[in-house]
Amino acid sequence: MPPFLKISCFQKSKKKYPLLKFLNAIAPYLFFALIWLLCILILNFTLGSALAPNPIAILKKLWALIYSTELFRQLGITVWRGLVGVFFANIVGLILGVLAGKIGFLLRFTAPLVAGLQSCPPIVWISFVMVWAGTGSLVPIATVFAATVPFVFSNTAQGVMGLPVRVLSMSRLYDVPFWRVFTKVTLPGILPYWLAGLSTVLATSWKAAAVAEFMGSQDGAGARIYWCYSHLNLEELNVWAISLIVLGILLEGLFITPLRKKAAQMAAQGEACL
Amino acid sequence: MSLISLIKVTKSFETKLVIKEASFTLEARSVTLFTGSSGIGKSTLLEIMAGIQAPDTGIVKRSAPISFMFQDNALIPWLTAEANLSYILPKNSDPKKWAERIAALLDFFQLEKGDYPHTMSGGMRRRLSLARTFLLKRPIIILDEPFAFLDENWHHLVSSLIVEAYRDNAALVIAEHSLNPALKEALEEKITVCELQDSPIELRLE
Repeated sequence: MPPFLKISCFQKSKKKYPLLKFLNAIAPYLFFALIWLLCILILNFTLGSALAPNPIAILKKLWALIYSTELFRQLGITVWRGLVGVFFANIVGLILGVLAGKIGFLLRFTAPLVAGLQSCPPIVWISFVMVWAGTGSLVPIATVFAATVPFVFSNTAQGVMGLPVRVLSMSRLYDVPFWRVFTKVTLPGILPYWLAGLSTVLATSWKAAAVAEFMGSQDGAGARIYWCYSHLNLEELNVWAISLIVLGILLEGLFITPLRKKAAQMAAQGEACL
Repeated sequence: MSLISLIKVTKSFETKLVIKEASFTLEARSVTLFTGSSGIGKSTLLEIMAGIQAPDTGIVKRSAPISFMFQDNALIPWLTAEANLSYILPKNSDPKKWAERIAALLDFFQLEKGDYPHTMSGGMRRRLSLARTFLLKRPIIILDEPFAFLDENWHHLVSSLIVEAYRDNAALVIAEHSLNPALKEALEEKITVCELQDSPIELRLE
Protein backbone atom coordinates (compact mmCIF):
# COMPACT_ATOMS: atom_id res chain seq x y z
CA MET A 1 0.00 0.00 0.00
CA PRO A 2 1.42 3.44 -0.86
CA PRO A 3 2.40 5.36 2.28
CA PHE A 4 0.05 8.27 1.63
CA LEU A 5 -2.96 5.92 1.89
CA LYS A 6 -2.06 4.87 5.41
CA ILE A 7 -2.87 7.32 8.16
CA SER A 8 0.03 6.20 10.34
CA CYS A 9 2.48 6.64 7.47
CA PHE A 10 1.00 10.04 6.66
CA GLN A 11 1.55 11.11 10.28
CA LYS A 12 5.16 9.96 10.06
CA SER A 13 5.62 11.88 6.85
CA LYS A 14 4.58 15.07 8.69
CA LYS A 15 7.65 14.71 10.88
CA LYS A 16 9.88 13.76 7.99
CA TYR A 17 8.79 16.48 5.58
CA PRO A 18 8.45 19.88 7.26
CA LEU A 19 7.92 21.47 3.83
CA LEU A 20 4.82 19.31 3.33
CA LYS A 21 3.57 20.34 6.77
CA PHE A 22 4.17 24.00 5.90
CA LEU A 23 2.34 23.71 2.56
CA ASN A 24 -0.52 21.93 4.32
CA ALA A 25 -0.79 24.84 6.78
CA ILE A 26 -0.72 27.64 4.20
CA ALA A 27 -2.97 25.89 1.64
CA PRO A 28 -6.23 27.47 2.91
CA TYR A 29 -4.64 30.94 2.84
CA LEU A 30 -3.33 30.43 -0.70
CA PHE A 31 -6.74 29.15 -1.76
CA PHE A 32 -8.57 32.23 -0.43
CA ALA A 33 -5.90 34.55 -1.85
CA LEU A 34 -6.61 32.94 -5.22
CA ILE A 35 -10.35 33.51 -4.77
CA TRP A 36 -9.66 37.18 -3.92
CA LEU A 37 -7.48 37.47 -7.01
CA LEU A 38 -10.22 36.04 -9.22
CA CYS A 39 -12.86 38.34 -7.71
CA ILE A 40 -10.72 41.45 -8.15
CA LEU A 41 -9.96 40.48 -11.76
CA ILE A 42 -13.65 40.00 -12.53
CA LEU A 43 -14.56 43.31 -10.86
CA ASN A 44 -11.70 45.05 -12.67
CA PHE A 45 -12.98 43.66 -15.96
CA THR A 46 -16.65 44.58 -15.31
CA LEU A 47 -16.39 47.88 -13.34
CA GLY A 48 -13.15 49.24 -14.74
CA SER A 49 -9.86 50.14 -13.02
CA ALA A 50 -11.22 53.31 -11.36
CA LEU A 51 -13.62 51.36 -9.11
CA ALA A 52 -11.78 48.05 -8.98
CA PRO A 53 -8.02 48.39 -9.44
CA ASN A 54 -6.06 45.50 -10.86
CA PRO A 55 -4.09 43.25 -8.49
CA ILE A 56 -0.70 44.49 -9.76
CA ALA A 57 -1.56 48.07 -8.79
CA ILE A 58 -2.75 46.94 -5.35
CA LEU A 59 0.43 44.90 -4.77
CA LYS A 60 2.56 47.89 -5.88
CA LYS A 61 0.73 50.11 -3.40
CA LEU A 62 1.17 47.46 -0.71
CA TRP A 63 4.90 47.36 -1.36
CA ALA A 64 5.13 51.16 -1.29
CA LEU A 65 3.38 51.31 2.08
CA ILE A 66 5.58 48.51 3.45
CA TYR A 67 8.76 50.16 2.09
CA SER A 68 7.86 53.51 3.65
CA THR A 69 6.92 51.71 6.93
CA GLU A 70 3.63 53.64 6.84
CA LEU A 71 1.69 50.37 6.86
CA PHE A 72 3.31 49.22 10.10
CA ARG A 73 3.07 52.66 11.71
CA GLN A 74 -0.67 52.96 11.09
CA LEU A 75 -1.43 49.34 12.05
CA GLY A 76 0.77 49.80 15.13
CA ILE A 77 -1.26 52.85 16.16
CA THR A 78 -4.50 50.84 15.83
CA VAL A 79 -3.16 47.86 17.79
CA TRP A 80 -1.65 50.14 20.46
CA ARG A 81 -4.95 51.97 20.98
CA GLY A 82 -6.75 48.61 21.19
CA LEU A 83 -4.30 47.33 23.79
CA VAL A 84 -4.54 50.49 25.93
CA GLY A 85 -8.34 50.15 25.93
CA VAL A 86 -8.07 46.44 26.80
CA PHE A 87 -5.60 47.21 29.60
CA PHE A 88 -7.95 49.65 31.34
CA ALA A 89 -10.96 47.41 30.67
CA ASN A 90 -9.12 44.58 32.45
CA ILE A 91 -8.28 46.66 35.50
CA VAL A 92 -11.85 47.93 35.92
CA GLY A 93 -13.50 44.64 34.82
CA LEU A 94 -11.38 42.50 37.16
CA ILE A 95 -12.02 44.64 40.24
CA LEU A 96 -15.77 44.95 39.61
CA GLY A 97 -16.02 41.29 38.49
CA VAL A 98 -14.41 39.98 41.70
CA LEU A 99 -16.76 42.16 43.78
CA ALA A 100 -19.83 41.05 41.80
CA GLY A 101 -18.80 37.38 42.03
CA LYS A 102 -18.50 37.68 45.81
CA ILE A 103 -21.67 39.73 46.31
CA GLY A 104 -24.53 37.89 44.60
CA PHE A 105 -26.84 40.90 44.88
CA LEU A 106 -24.42 43.10 42.92
CA LEU A 107 -24.26 40.54 40.09
CA ARG A 108 -28.06 40.19 39.88
CA PHE A 109 -28.44 43.97 40.03
CA THR A 110 -25.96 44.64 37.22
CA ALA A 111 -26.95 41.67 35.01
CA PRO A 112 -29.43 43.58 32.75
CA LEU A 113 -27.00 46.49 32.35
CA VAL A 114 -24.09 44.18 31.46
CA ALA A 115 -26.25 42.24 28.97
CA GLY A 116 -27.26 45.54 27.36
CA LEU A 117 -23.69 46.84 27.22
CA GLN A 118 -22.40 43.57 25.71
CA SER A 119 -24.78 43.84 22.78
CA CYS A 120 -24.38 47.61 22.38
CA PRO A 121 -22.82 48.59 19.02
CA PRO A 122 -19.54 50.57 19.30
CA ILE A 123 -21.09 53.41 17.27
CA VAL A 124 -22.93 54.54 20.44
CA TRP A 125 -19.67 55.03 22.37
CA ILE A 126 -17.94 56.59 19.39
CA SER A 127 -20.68 59.22 19.07
CA PHE A 128 -20.61 60.13 22.77
CA VAL A 129 -16.82 60.34 23.01
CA MET A 130 -16.62 62.42 19.84
CA VAL A 131 -19.18 64.86 21.29
CA TRP A 132 -17.43 65.08 24.66
CA ALA A 133 -13.76 64.79 23.71
CA GLY A 134 -13.52 65.61 20.01
CA THR A 135 -11.37 63.46 17.74
CA GLY A 136 -8.02 61.77 18.44
CA SER A 137 -6.68 58.76 20.30
CA LEU A 138 -9.26 59.03 23.08
CA VAL A 139 -12.10 57.99 20.73
CA PRO A 140 -10.75 54.51 19.85
CA ILE A 141 -9.32 53.91 23.34
CA ALA A 142 -12.59 54.83 25.07
CA THR A 143 -14.59 52.83 22.51
CA VAL A 144 -12.46 49.71 23.04
CA PHE A 145 -12.72 50.19 26.82
CA ALA A 146 -16.52 50.51 26.71
CA ALA A 147 -16.92 47.62 24.27
CA THR A 148 -14.71 45.19 26.21
CA VAL A 149 -15.19 45.98 29.91
CA PRO A 150 -18.55 44.10 30.14
CA PHE A 151 -16.86 40.90 28.85
CA VAL A 152 -14.03 41.10 31.41
CA PHE A 153 -16.53 41.90 34.15
CA SER A 154 -18.94 39.02 33.42
CA ASN A 155 -16.17 36.44 32.85
CA THR A 156 -14.41 37.42 36.07
CA ALA A 157 -17.68 37.28 38.04
CA GLN A 158 -18.40 33.82 36.57
CA GLY A 159 -14.88 32.73 37.55
CA VAL A 160 -15.39 33.86 41.15
CA MET A 161 -18.75 32.05 41.32
CA GLY A 162 -17.15 28.93 39.82
CA LEU A 163 -14.42 28.73 42.48
CA PRO A 164 -14.32 25.27 44.12
CA VAL A 165 -16.62 25.61 47.13
CA ARG A 166 -15.07 22.63 48.93
CA VAL A 167 -11.59 24.13 48.64
CA LEU A 168 -12.90 27.37 50.15
CA SER A 169 -14.53 25.37 52.98
CA MET A 170 -11.23 23.56 53.53
CA SER A 171 -9.41 26.93 53.64
CA ARG A 172 -11.77 28.22 56.34
CA LEU A 173 -11.42 25.00 58.34
CA TYR A 174 -7.62 25.29 58.41
CA ASP A 175 -7.72 29.09 59.01
CA VAL A 176 -5.72 29.74 55.83
CA PRO A 177 -4.86 33.49 55.71
CA PHE A 178 -6.92 35.65 53.32
CA TRP A 179 -3.97 36.65 51.14
CA ARG A 180 -2.94 33.01 50.64
CA VAL A 181 -6.50 32.04 49.66
CA PHE A 182 -6.63 35.00 47.25
CA THR A 183 -3.31 34.26 45.55
CA LYS A 184 -3.41 30.44 45.59
CA VAL A 185 -7.14 29.78 45.04
CA THR A 186 -9.11 32.84 43.96
CA LEU A 187 -6.78 34.25 41.30
CA PRO A 188 -5.80 30.88 39.71
CA GLY A 189 -9.47 29.82 39.86
CA ILE A 190 -10.53 32.92 37.95
CA LEU A 191 -7.67 32.53 35.42
CA PRO A 192 -9.37 30.10 32.94
CA TYR A 193 -12.48 32.30 32.81
CA TRP A 194 -10.40 35.46 32.49
CA LEU A 195 -8.27 33.96 29.68
CA ALA A 196 -11.43 32.91 27.82
CA GLY A 197 -12.75 36.46 28.24
CA LEU A 198 -9.43 37.98 27.21
CA SER A 199 -9.48 36.04 23.93
CA THR A 200 -12.92 37.52 23.11
CA VAL A 201 -11.78 40.96 24.23
CA LEU A 202 -8.64 40.88 22.07
CA ALA A 203 -10.67 39.80 19.06
CA THR A 204 -13.10 42.67 19.65
CA SER A 205 -10.53 45.33 20.54
CA TRP A 206 -8.74 45.94 17.27
CA LYS A 207 -12.00 45.80 15.28
CA ALA A 208 -13.61 48.36 17.61
CA ALA A 209 -10.45 50.50 17.45
CA ALA A 210 -10.46 50.48 13.63
CA VAL A 211 -14.17 51.46 13.49
CA ALA A 212 -13.61 54.26 16.03
CA GLU A 213 -10.63 55.54 14.02
CA PHE A 214 -12.75 55.49 10.87
CA MET A 215 -15.14 57.95 12.47
CA GLY A 216 -13.14 59.96 14.94
CA SER A 217 -9.36 59.88 14.40
CA GLN A 218 -6.75 61.42 12.14
CA ASP A 219 -4.47 58.38 12.07
CA GLY A 220 -4.52 54.61 12.46
CA ALA A 221 -5.69 51.96 9.98
CA GLY A 222 -9.35 52.91 10.40
CA ALA A 223 -8.62 56.58 9.70
CA ARG A 224 -6.63 55.61 6.58
CA ILE A 225 -9.61 53.58 5.34
CA TYR A 226 -11.82 56.66 5.77
CA TRP A 227 -9.27 58.77 3.86
CA CYS A 228 -9.12 56.23 1.00
CA TYR A 229 -12.93 56.06 0.89
CA SER A 230 -13.33 59.86 0.83
CA HIS A 231 -10.63 60.23 -1.87
CA LEU A 232 -11.79 57.16 -3.81
CA ASN A 233 -8.29 55.71 -3.56
CA LEU A 234 -9.32 52.09 -4.19
CA GLU A 235 -5.78 50.75 -4.45
CA GLU A 236 -4.87 51.85 -0.93
CA LEU A 237 -8.33 50.89 0.38
CA ASN A 238 -7.68 47.32 -0.78
CA VAL A 239 -4.25 47.39 0.90
CA TRP A 240 -5.73 48.44 4.27
CA ALA A 241 -8.52 45.87 3.95
CA ILE A 242 -6.00 43.10 3.26
CA SER A 243 -3.74 44.34 6.08
CA LEU A 244 -6.56 44.31 8.63
CA ILE A 245 -7.56 40.77 7.59
CA VAL A 246 -3.93 39.60 7.88
CA LEU A 247 -3.66 41.35 11.27
CA GLY A 248 -6.80 39.51 12.39
CA ILE A 249 -5.37 36.15 11.27
CA LEU A 250 -2.09 36.87 13.08
CA LEU A 251 -3.84 37.93 16.31
CA GLU A 252 -6.06 34.85 16.13
CA GLY A 253 -3.16 32.46 15.52
CA LEU A 254 -0.61 34.01 17.86
CA PHE A 255 -2.75 35.05 20.82
CA ILE A 256 -6.48 34.34 20.69
CA THR A 257 -6.45 30.61 19.81
CA PRO A 258 -3.59 29.77 22.24
CA LEU A 259 -5.39 31.70 25.00
CA ARG A 260 -8.63 29.80 24.36
CA LYS A 261 -6.79 26.47 24.32
CA LYS A 262 -4.99 27.32 27.56
CA ALA A 263 -8.27 28.37 29.22
CA ALA A 264 -10.01 25.12 28.13
CA GLN A 265 -7.01 23.06 29.27
CA MET A 266 -6.94 24.70 32.70
CA ALA A 267 -10.68 24.28 33.14
CA ALA A 268 -10.45 20.58 32.20
CA GLN A 269 -7.56 20.03 34.64
CA GLY A 270 -9.59 21.63 37.42
CA GLU A 271 -12.67 19.53 36.69
CA ALA A 272 -10.62 16.34 36.48
CA CYS A 273 -9.85 16.30 40.18
CA LEU A 274 -12.83 18.03 41.76
CA MET B 1 -12.51 16.49 78.28
CA SER B 2 -15.21 17.17 75.68
CA LEU B 3 -13.79 18.47 72.39
CA ILE B 4 -16.98 18.50 70.33
CA SER B 5 -20.56 18.52 71.61
CA LEU B 6 -23.63 18.18 69.44
CA ILE B 7 -26.86 18.94 71.29
CA LYS B 8 -30.15 18.01 69.61
CA VAL B 9 -28.87 18.82 66.13
CA THR B 10 -31.32 18.59 63.24
CA LYS B 11 -30.52 18.95 59.56
CA SER B 12 -32.66 18.56 56.46
CA PHE B 13 -32.15 19.14 52.74
CA GLU B 14 -35.32 20.66 51.27
CA THR B 15 -37.98 18.21 52.44
CA LYS B 16 -35.66 15.33 53.36
CA LEU B 17 -34.82 15.11 57.05
CA VAL B 18 -31.28 13.71 57.35
CA ILE B 19 -30.41 14.21 61.02
CA LYS B 20 -33.03 14.33 63.75
CA GLU B 21 -32.11 15.70 67.18
CA ALA B 22 -28.69 14.06 67.22
CA SER B 23 -26.61 14.43 70.37
CA PHE B 24 -22.98 13.45 70.53
CA THR B 25 -19.92 14.18 72.65
CA LEU B 26 -16.35 13.64 71.47
CA GLU B 27 -13.75 13.08 74.17
CA ALA B 28 -9.98 13.45 73.81
CA ARG B 29 -7.98 10.29 73.02
CA SER B 30 -10.88 8.42 71.47
CA VAL B 31 -11.79 6.84 68.16
CA THR B 32 -15.42 6.89 67.05
CA LEU B 33 -16.46 5.14 63.89
CA PHE B 34 -19.78 5.84 62.20
CA THR B 35 -20.83 3.10 59.82
CA GLY B 36 -23.82 2.95 57.52
CA SER B 37 -24.94 2.74 53.94
CA SER B 38 -24.41 5.46 51.33
CA GLY B 39 -26.66 8.50 51.57
CA ILE B 40 -27.67 7.92 55.18
CA GLY B 41 -26.09 11.23 56.27
CA LYS B 42 -22.67 10.26 57.67
CA SER B 43 -20.84 12.99 55.75
CA THR B 44 -23.42 15.60 56.76
CA LEU B 45 -22.98 14.61 60.40
CA LEU B 46 -19.19 14.90 60.15
CA GLU B 47 -19.37 18.24 58.34
CA ILE B 48 -21.72 19.64 61.00
CA MET B 49 -19.22 18.54 63.67
CA ALA B 50 -16.42 20.35 61.79
CA GLY B 51 -18.48 23.48 61.13
CA ILE B 52 -18.45 23.06 57.36
CA GLN B 53 -22.24 22.82 57.37
CA ALA B 54 -24.55 24.58 59.80
CA PRO B 55 -27.37 22.65 61.48
CA ASP B 56 -30.97 23.79 61.06
CA THR B 57 -31.53 23.58 64.80
CA GLY B 58 -29.46 22.50 67.78
CA ILE B 59 -26.12 23.51 69.25
CA VAL B 60 -22.58 22.55 68.20
CA LYS B 61 -19.68 23.32 70.53
CA ARG B 62 -16.04 22.92 69.55
CA SER B 63 -13.11 23.51 71.87
CA ALA B 64 -10.15 22.57 69.68
CA PRO B 65 -9.01 22.99 66.06
CA ILE B 66 -9.98 20.26 63.60
CA SER B 67 -8.26 18.44 60.75
CA PHE B 68 -10.78 17.19 58.24
CA MET B 69 -10.47 14.77 55.37
CA PHE B 70 -13.14 15.52 52.79
CA GLN B 71 -14.98 12.72 51.03
CA ASP B 72 -14.14 14.41 47.70
CA ASN B 73 -10.59 15.29 48.85
CA ALA B 74 -10.99 19.08 48.24
CA LEU B 75 -7.52 19.31 46.70
CA ILE B 76 -6.40 22.38 44.82
CA PRO B 77 -6.04 21.25 41.18
CA TRP B 78 -3.44 23.80 40.12
CA LEU B 79 -1.07 23.24 43.06
CA THR B 80 1.51 20.47 43.29
CA ALA B 81 1.29 17.78 45.97
CA GLU B 82 3.85 19.67 48.08
CA ALA B 83 2.05 23.01 47.61
CA ASN B 84 -1.29 21.41 48.51
CA LEU B 85 0.22 20.44 51.85
CA SER B 86 2.05 23.70 52.56
CA TYR B 87 -1.17 25.61 51.71
CA ILE B 88 -2.67 24.79 55.13
CA LEU B 89 0.41 25.69 57.21
CA PRO B 90 -0.33 28.19 60.00
CA LYS B 91 0.12 31.90 59.34
CA ASN B 92 3.70 33.16 59.79
CA SER B 93 5.02 29.61 60.16
CA ASP B 94 8.49 28.89 58.83
CA PRO B 95 8.11 26.73 55.69
CA LYS B 96 11.63 25.35 56.16
CA LYS B 97 10.64 24.04 59.58
CA TRP B 98 7.71 22.18 58.02
CA ALA B 99 9.58 21.01 54.93
CA GLU B 100 10.90 17.92 56.69
CA ARG B 101 7.45 16.82 57.91
CA ILE B 102 5.90 17.45 54.47
CA ALA B 103 8.67 15.44 52.81
CA ALA B 104 8.21 12.62 55.33
CA LEU B 105 4.45 12.49 54.74
CA LEU B 106 4.86 12.55 50.94
CA ASP B 107 7.41 9.76 51.29
CA PHE B 108 5.12 7.75 53.57
CA PHE B 109 2.23 8.05 51.09
CA GLN B 110 4.56 7.40 48.10
CA LEU B 111 3.75 10.68 46.39
CA GLU B 112 5.99 12.88 44.24
CA LYS B 113 6.15 16.44 45.53
CA GLY B 114 5.89 17.97 42.03
CA ASP B 115 2.86 15.97 40.85
CA TYR B 116 -0.43 17.76 40.25
CA PRO B 117 -3.75 16.26 41.41
CA HIS B 118 -5.08 16.02 37.84
CA THR B 119 -2.19 13.72 36.92
CA MET B 120 -2.85 11.42 39.91
CA SER B 121 -5.03 8.34 40.19
CA GLY B 122 -8.02 8.27 42.56
CA GLY B 123 -5.95 6.40 45.15
CA MET B 124 -3.06 8.88 44.95
CA ARG B 125 -5.43 11.82 45.45
CA ARG B 126 -6.87 10.03 48.47
CA ARG B 127 -3.38 9.58 49.86
CA LEU B 128 -2.56 13.25 49.31
CA SER B 129 -5.77 14.20 51.08
CA LEU B 130 -4.81 11.92 53.99
CA ALA B 131 -1.31 13.43 54.09
CA ARG B 132 -2.84 16.90 54.42
CA THR B 133 -5.18 15.73 57.20
CA PHE B 134 -2.34 14.30 59.30
CA LEU B 135 0.09 17.18 58.61
CA LEU B 136 -0.82 19.61 61.40
CA LYS B 137 -1.33 17.10 64.26
CA ARG B 138 -4.49 18.81 65.47
CA PRO B 139 -6.35 17.49 68.54
CA ILE B 140 -9.43 16.52 66.50
CA ILE B 141 -9.14 14.51 63.28
CA ILE B 142 -12.24 13.77 61.24
CA LEU B 143 -11.92 11.32 58.36
CA ASP B 144 -14.71 10.87 55.81
CA GLU B 145 -14.17 7.44 54.23
CA PRO B 146 -10.36 7.35 54.55
CA PHE B 147 -10.05 3.87 53.02
CA ALA B 148 -11.98 4.59 49.81
CA PHE B 149 -9.94 4.05 46.60
CA LEU B 150 -7.10 2.44 48.60
CA ASP B 151 -5.96 -1.17 48.42
CA GLU B 152 -5.55 -3.49 51.43
CA ASN B 153 -1.88 -2.67 51.95
CA TRP B 154 -2.76 1.00 52.31
CA HIS B 155 -5.56 0.14 54.76
CA HIS B 156 -2.90 -1.13 57.17
CA LEU B 157 -0.65 1.89 56.66
CA VAL B 158 -3.51 4.37 57.16
CA SER B 159 -4.65 2.43 60.23
CA SER B 160 -1.14 2.76 61.66
CA LEU B 161 -1.36 6.56 61.25
CA ILE B 162 -4.72 6.56 63.00
CA VAL B 163 -3.22 4.56 65.89
CA GLU B 164 -0.28 6.98 66.08
CA ALA B 165 -2.65 9.97 66.25
CA TYR B 166 -4.68 8.20 68.95
CA ARG B 167 -1.51 7.62 70.98
CA ASP B 168 -0.74 11.35 70.61
CA ASN B 169 -4.06 12.01 72.44
CA ALA B 170 -6.03 13.01 69.34
CA ALA B 171 -9.77 12.43 69.14
CA LEU B 172 -10.69 10.77 65.86
CA VAL B 173 -14.07 10.52 64.14
CA ILE B 174 -14.27 8.25 61.11
CA ALA B 175 -17.10 7.54 58.68
CA GLU B 176 -17.02 4.28 56.69
CA HIS B 177 -19.52 1.90 55.16
CA SER B 178 -18.39 -0.81 57.61
CA LEU B 179 -15.63 -1.49 60.12
CA ASN B 180 -12.45 -1.99 58.14
CA PRO B 181 -10.60 -5.20 59.22
CA ALA B 182 -7.24 -3.37 59.20
CA LEU B 183 -8.61 -0.66 61.50
CA LYS B 184 -10.22 -3.26 63.77
CA GLU B 185 -6.94 -5.13 63.99
CA ALA B 186 -4.98 -1.96 64.77
CA LEU B 187 -7.28 -0.48 67.40
CA GLU B 188 -9.05 -3.55 68.80
CA GLU B 189 -11.35 -2.55 71.71
CA LYS B 190 -10.32 1.13 71.70
CA ILE B 191 -12.72 1.99 68.91
CA THR B 192 -16.36 2.98 69.49
CA VAL B 193 -18.44 1.76 66.58
CA CYS B 194 -21.75 3.47 65.99
CA GLU B 195 -23.90 1.79 63.37
CA LEU B 196 -26.24 4.20 61.64
CA GLN B 197 -29.02 2.07 60.21
CA ASP B 198 -32.00 4.31 59.60
CA SER B 199 -32.48 7.70 58.06
CA PRO B 200 -32.90 10.24 59.58
CA ILE B 201 -30.00 9.74 61.95
CA GLU B 202 -31.15 9.83 65.57
CA LEU B 203 -27.90 9.75 67.50
CA ARG B 204 -27.60 9.58 71.30
CA LEU B 205 -23.91 9.36 72.20
CA GLU B 206 -23.32 11.63 75.17
